[in-house]
Amino acid sequence: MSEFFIILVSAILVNNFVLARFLGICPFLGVSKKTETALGMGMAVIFVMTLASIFTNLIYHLVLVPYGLEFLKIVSFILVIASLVQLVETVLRKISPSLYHALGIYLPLITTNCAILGLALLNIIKQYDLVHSIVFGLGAGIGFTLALLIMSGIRERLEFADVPKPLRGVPVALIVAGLLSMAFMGFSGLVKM
Amino acid sequence: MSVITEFQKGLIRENPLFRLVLGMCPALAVTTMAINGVAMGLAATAVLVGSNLVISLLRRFIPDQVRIPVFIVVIASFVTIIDLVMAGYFYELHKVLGLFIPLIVVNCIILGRAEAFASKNNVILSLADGLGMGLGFTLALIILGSVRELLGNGTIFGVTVLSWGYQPALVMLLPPGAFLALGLLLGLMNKLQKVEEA
Amino acid sequence: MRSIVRLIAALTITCAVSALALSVIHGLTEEPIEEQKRLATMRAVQEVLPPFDNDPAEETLMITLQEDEVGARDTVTVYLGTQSGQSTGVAFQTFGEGYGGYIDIMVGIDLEGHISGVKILEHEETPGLGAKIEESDFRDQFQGKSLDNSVLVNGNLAVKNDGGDLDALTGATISPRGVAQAASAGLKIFARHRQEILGPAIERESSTGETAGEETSPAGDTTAVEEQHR
Repeated sequence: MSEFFIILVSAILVNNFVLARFLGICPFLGVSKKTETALGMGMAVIFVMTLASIFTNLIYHLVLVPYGLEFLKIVSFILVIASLVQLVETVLRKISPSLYHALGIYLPLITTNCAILGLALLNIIKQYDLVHSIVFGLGAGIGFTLALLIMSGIRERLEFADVPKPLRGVPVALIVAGLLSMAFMGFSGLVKM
Repeated sequence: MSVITEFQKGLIRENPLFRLVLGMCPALAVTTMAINGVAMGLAATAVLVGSNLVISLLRRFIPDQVRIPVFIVVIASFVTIIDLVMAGYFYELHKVLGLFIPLIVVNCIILGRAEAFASKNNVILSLADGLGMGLGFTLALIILGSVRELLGNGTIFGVTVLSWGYQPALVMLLPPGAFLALGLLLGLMNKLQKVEEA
Repeated sequence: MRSIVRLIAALTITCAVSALALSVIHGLTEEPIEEQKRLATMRAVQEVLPPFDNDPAEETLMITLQEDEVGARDTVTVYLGTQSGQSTGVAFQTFGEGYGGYIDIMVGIDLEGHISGVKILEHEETPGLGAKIEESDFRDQFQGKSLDNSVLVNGNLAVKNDGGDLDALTGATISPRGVAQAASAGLKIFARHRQEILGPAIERESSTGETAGEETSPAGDTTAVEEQHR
């Protein structure tokens, strides 16, 4: 039980996917301007990440490994992820059209969110079984959402600050991300390994 | 629309990292040393040129509704090839780049160029576009990597440049430094562009 | 209806061609990849063994750890180094807990149980800080250390901060601690499995001595027999 807790804390705080592993930067910068969209995107990512963990894990262990086809993992994982995102898009359109429109172009872009593919590959590298993968996926998604929410809160306020012209937009957002990353480094000693 | 123009634009004017702001994940992750930037840049260029070539060749045969999945399979295949070739012949570099070689698949630059250019232009122009964008990306990674390596370690490409009295700012090699370096570089690029336009 | 068939066909053909191309490349690169991994391991083995002139890759032994042993995989591949046919030492892989994750090392141990070398294989330590365990300045201090001639804490080698006699790194204690852990594991495993590891080698040496003729002293023969019965 405690090892699941460690995996969660590690993925959310200690080795945050965005601020420590550099995964998911594009959506992180693209969707973090308003808190409502950030929250919506975060929820979608948590959902996709957890499902992606399950399906990629199953495909790897039930199909690729038994037939010696591990070298097809990149192609098969990305296809699984693309299909999942398509699924989420369709479901979201029916359940919450307003959120669907708010997320706009960013929803299909979850496919190219390196955080999802990165998560699938990390599960294999860390040799996590199905349950551990799910926990890791959950933690990764929550960590991504956390970073996204903090970022959107700061950026909403930055709108009113007097930022030097060359730095407006992405540059200052990156500098803020740097400071956040530094802050998160404080969590380093939290879990031993 | 000449070959030279298409090639040149990716280098500076439409540099994928500094101007189009694409491919940030690998840029931040691998640029702890300038040489890693070179390796990642060239690997990405290889994939980009390969996928642009194939997609441009097949552009009339790919039905519009499934074009994104098809692009993705083509790109993922080239990435797998590069991954396997590097593991077999460039072991050290493969270890250093690690996770970010497979992640070239989701490098927005590649899918972006496939969608915006290769699917709509002939093979020669697509090759030029791929090569230019790829080398531009490599150039940007070298710049970012050099800055971080210089400030964080006192060296560039392993050659000690700043030695006596200089205490390396270790943070530059760690995640915060990556964000800061890229943010400030982008700001600098913006400033230079304004100056150029004025 | 026709258009859907076209869509599915396009997708299927793409996937099939992709799978085919990748199978070919995979077949071509499978061996080079294995070779690279093998080379990396052997480079480490050669660096940590006491002086040798054989090919350690040709003299390996698998040992199985007992339930209470820590710091290495359940089955360990032990590489043997010999000089002029006589065993000089062994090398195998162990690990310890570092700051960012496990630290894998290749440890070389001579016949008397002294460390002949330590090489860091894999680690996730902080660049510029804990990562400095890779440097020879740090690793060299392990040479000559054994469970008999060092200050032990809880039966293990330890850094000075923890009461031992090993130097840590400025600004990083946990990484060196992990390496000390891994090195201790190596020494303890060697101590417990010494007979298993060196037994066959000594047997082989004495039998080679026999065929060589006059050089073998009777004492050499009886020693081998005695060891077998111990």
